[in-house]
Amino acid sequence: MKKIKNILKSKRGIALENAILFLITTFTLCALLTTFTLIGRYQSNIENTVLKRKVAVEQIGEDFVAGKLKATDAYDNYSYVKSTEGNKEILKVFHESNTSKILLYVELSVNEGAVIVTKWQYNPSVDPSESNSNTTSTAATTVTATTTATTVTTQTTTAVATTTASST
Amino acid sequence: MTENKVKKGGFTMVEVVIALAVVVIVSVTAIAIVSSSITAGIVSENKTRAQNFAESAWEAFKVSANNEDFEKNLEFAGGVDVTYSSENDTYTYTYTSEKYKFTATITVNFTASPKQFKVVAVDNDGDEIISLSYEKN
Repeated sequence: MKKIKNILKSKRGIALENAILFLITTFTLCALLTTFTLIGRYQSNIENTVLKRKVAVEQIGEDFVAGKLKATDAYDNYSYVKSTEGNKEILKVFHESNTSKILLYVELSVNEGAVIVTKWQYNPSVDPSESNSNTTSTAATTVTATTTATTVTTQTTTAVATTTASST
Repeated sequence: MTENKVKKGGFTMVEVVIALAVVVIVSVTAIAIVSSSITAGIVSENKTRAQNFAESAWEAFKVSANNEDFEKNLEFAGGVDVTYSSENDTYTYTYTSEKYKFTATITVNFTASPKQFKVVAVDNDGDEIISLSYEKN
């Protein structure tokens, strides 16, 4: 810091090495700014592509739920596999270039004509149809937990009501 | 033997001119880089805003059953006018953002089967930023 002050105070100008150092600093900052800008631009383009992909994939899911799936080649760049397991209908949507990665997984439960969407999952890391038993038990646990929480809330409310009644 | 002369009179004209040329070149380059970076940053931000708008319009369409719902669910930035015209049950909403320099045109038809949605966002030069189409049953 003292050295920089001395350089700036000097009436004889700055040494060549210091001038080069300042140039390098200036251009490093410029390069940094340009890099951040390019990253922002790149990110913006990625967001654009991701949004278009999301809409296209969701359209296939929407058509599946409505029972109006078109031929697989009607969906640009995307393909799908439809399967049935008991009263469940399953749809897996892939990108045409990579059929190993599921982009959207939709599971419908059909009971006496009523269609219920039981699963709608984007980019599952593993095929949900292969780990269905695990998922079912997790869902059951969640329901139990919710019920318990509701009971606790009710008890608290009752307790508060009792306190209020006794105080009045 | 040559006699060493000690300079006492400062820089020569040539030295000053060279130094000035270097300073000008460096400054002009740095300013050009900074300026273009700022412009590119602003363009990126505008594009992102237009994309966000298109996405929120799409999300609003997905959860709406009719035009009234759609208008309620659309979230516009304050102070910007929204105009719509109806023709053959197709409603067209035009959203212009002066701040972010884009115009988005949303076309929806809730009476058709399937219900249709389209949004096209263009910048002030008329270049398309994003275009989305969606149908729901």
